[in-house]
Amino acid sequence: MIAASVIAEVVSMLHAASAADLVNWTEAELYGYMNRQLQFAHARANYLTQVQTLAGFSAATANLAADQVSIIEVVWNGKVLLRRTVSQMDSLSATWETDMEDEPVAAIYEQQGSSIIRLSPIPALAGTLEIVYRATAPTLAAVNSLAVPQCVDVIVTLRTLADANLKDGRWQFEESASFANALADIMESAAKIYYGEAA
Amino acid sequence: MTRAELRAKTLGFVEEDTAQTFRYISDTDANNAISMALRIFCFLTLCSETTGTVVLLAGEAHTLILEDLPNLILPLRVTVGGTLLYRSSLERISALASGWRNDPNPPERYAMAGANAIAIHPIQSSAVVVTITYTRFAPALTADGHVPDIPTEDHDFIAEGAAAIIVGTKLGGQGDAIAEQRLKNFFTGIKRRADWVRERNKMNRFEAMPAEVSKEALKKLLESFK
Repeated sequence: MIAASVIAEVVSMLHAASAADLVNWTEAELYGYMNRQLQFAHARANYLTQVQTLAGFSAATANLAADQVSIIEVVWNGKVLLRRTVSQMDSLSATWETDMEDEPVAAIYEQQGSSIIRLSPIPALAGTLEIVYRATAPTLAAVNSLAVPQCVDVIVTLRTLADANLKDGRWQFEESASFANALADIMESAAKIYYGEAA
Repeated sequence: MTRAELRAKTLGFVEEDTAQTFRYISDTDANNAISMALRIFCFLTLCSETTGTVVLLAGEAHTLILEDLPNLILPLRVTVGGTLLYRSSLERISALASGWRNDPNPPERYAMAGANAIAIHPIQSSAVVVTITYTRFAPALTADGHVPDIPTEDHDFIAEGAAAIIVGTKLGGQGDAIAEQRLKNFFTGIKRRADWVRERNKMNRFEAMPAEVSKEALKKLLESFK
């Protein structure tokens, strides 16, 4: 997806030959709508999978990458850790939060919200922690592009147009926004089936 | 049909007089709408396919795929050295063998991680070339002589879809019964081709099927033209 191409197409749909000709919007507004919809799209379907690698790791908790939407799996020295909840760990051991062994067995995702995971037992020896996660998209400027399936181009173009039209939200602006959102919904439903949901 | 022919048909559908000096719908608008209709058609029917390769390095659990295969929608058939791999998921592979990332063995199965990465299980001890037959977005039409890489009998539907997209996005289509019919025709064409692809994929034992467009979603789309 090339950010400048998406914006150029939206500008054309808004009856302007170029961004400078826009009457009711600025180019910066359109980029704002586009980036917001790009991140919403990545919060709904799994377009991007990333791996966060922490070499030489030996702490009880790890901060997750800022762009993570949800975790697929947590790997320690090449071995996938069991996924556990706090209540499951409480039922297994009263001291799980301070238990220490050479290697962790489980990863607890929910104890401290969605930005930190905890390992149990705490690893006594340093190892490589890899977190495979569903990622959101970065904020794109005109010079940027993103390696995602082309359905994202279509979805984000339509939803950016809808957001721009809803700024006014009357008459044909509202009709155009309804059409764009409904068509984007159809594409997004298919994307969730093909690639899985993000959260 | 070439892009020029598609454009002429699309502009005819929206009753744009191309001889006029002042144009409400430009050639660029029509080309963009054709491009969008083509991508929607390919995505919802999975009718365009090709074969490509990616390299998985020694010891690598998964590799990014979209840089090498930028038009990819879904893999249909994955082989390594002529061996057909079965489709799985990361969760199932990890449930089978939690230490699979450390244990090289002949390849048996693959999993897509989202839309951009592929994993091969077991992990490989040397670099392997993974051959993927996959559905794709048809190559972009960048010149007037280009022909969409989809069945010829579906080209008319692209023009109908493009016309509906122009009306819906630029003009707001409320009360436009003709544009509503064009949109219905476009999705009729999509359903017909998707049904055909499903039967073909079953016969070929391909593992990806076109997603069904729900009646509720299509009804909501058509209501935006009422």
